[in-house]
Amino acid sequence: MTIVHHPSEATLIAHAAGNMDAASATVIAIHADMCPRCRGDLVLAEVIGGQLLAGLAPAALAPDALSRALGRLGAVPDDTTAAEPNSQVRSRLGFDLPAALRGYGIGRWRWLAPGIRFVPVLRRSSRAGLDDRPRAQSALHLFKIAPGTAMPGHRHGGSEFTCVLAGSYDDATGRFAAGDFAETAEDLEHRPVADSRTGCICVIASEAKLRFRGPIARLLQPVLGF
Amino acid sequence: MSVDSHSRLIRRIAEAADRQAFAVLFTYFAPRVKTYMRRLGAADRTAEDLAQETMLAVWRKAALFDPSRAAASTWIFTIARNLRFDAQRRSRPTEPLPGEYDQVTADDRPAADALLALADRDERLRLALHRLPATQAKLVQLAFFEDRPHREIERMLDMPLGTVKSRLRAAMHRLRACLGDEA
Repeated sequence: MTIVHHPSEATLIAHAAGNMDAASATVIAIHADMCPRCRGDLVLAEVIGGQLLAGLAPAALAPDALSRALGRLGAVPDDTTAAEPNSQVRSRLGFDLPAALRGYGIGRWRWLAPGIRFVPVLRRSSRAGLDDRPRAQSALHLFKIAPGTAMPGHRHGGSEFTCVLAGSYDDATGRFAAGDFAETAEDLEHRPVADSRTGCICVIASEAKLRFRGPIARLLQPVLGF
Repeated sequence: MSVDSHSRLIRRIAEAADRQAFAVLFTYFAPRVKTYMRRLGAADRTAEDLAQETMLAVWRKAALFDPSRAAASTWIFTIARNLRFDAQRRSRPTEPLPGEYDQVTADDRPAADALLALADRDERLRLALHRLPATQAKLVQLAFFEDRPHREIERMLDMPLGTVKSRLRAAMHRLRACLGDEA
């Protein structure tokens, strides 16, 4: 597998910094698991993170912070985990789920349009969540595009990260095969076409709903504009 | 306090469940982890909780720490980051699951790459960071702590996106190069 398309340095650094929403971070992690070069950059960025951490100004903690921590040292963590066996997921989806997706409950393929199936993984959100300011949280979807099928032409209202898991697709910016990472700018308009032999399975984190062109595609907008 | 002494404190925890060593590490790192969480946008209470959780994880996972692979600050940084990521994921509305499955907790061991495995790489990197041209150093910091890295940097430094990207690429290239062949 030769990977041609990689995330930008800014994206890799932000990912290593923990400065990415869950959907985007998951797509980057999937790419990095397949790409030694980006894995190396992430390790480098983590070392930078350690340096920056040590150099940060200390924040004021609650007066009893240390005594509270000392009091909890014996406690057993409640992070017991039970992921669904991968064999079960494989038989439902027809391919091996990347490790970074195994923590999510992944349902079954749903029909979206002729030749296009998808699985919703995370919903889009703009809530503040744990933060004190709202934060754009991308949606996360798996897509399966049948051989030779074109996605209806569309424009992105926000940034979008795609990682190809199997097969390949082509658009105006090039050919994207297994492991390739596409970082789509806000203003790109494209019409990806799945490879005519293999089709394409990919995972996509999208910040905003897609806007489709053409009368038929616009009729599908309520369905397709995930 | 030197980088080495932090590593030694983690070893003390692993080998002797040394609460005094923990207290020293806590006093140094917990307030900085809280600042890190605040910089990423976490509310004050969440940041405080995540700093607590990070230090408790340091206590529990101390035996996994390998000072020949990572400096204490790098290891603690990755623990803190992964805890925030997990917390963020748990706070998200997810799709209905086919069954009841908990989220898998991220692995907190230092990335098990053969790359950059030298004990002194953090020191070399610290020096290299200081030697970066001011704009590149600023860009790396912004990429770390700003919410929407590209756009924020563009706005704050009044620099076109293409320039942001190429300068960051240059910065990473210099840092990689300073680490020698293993990078």
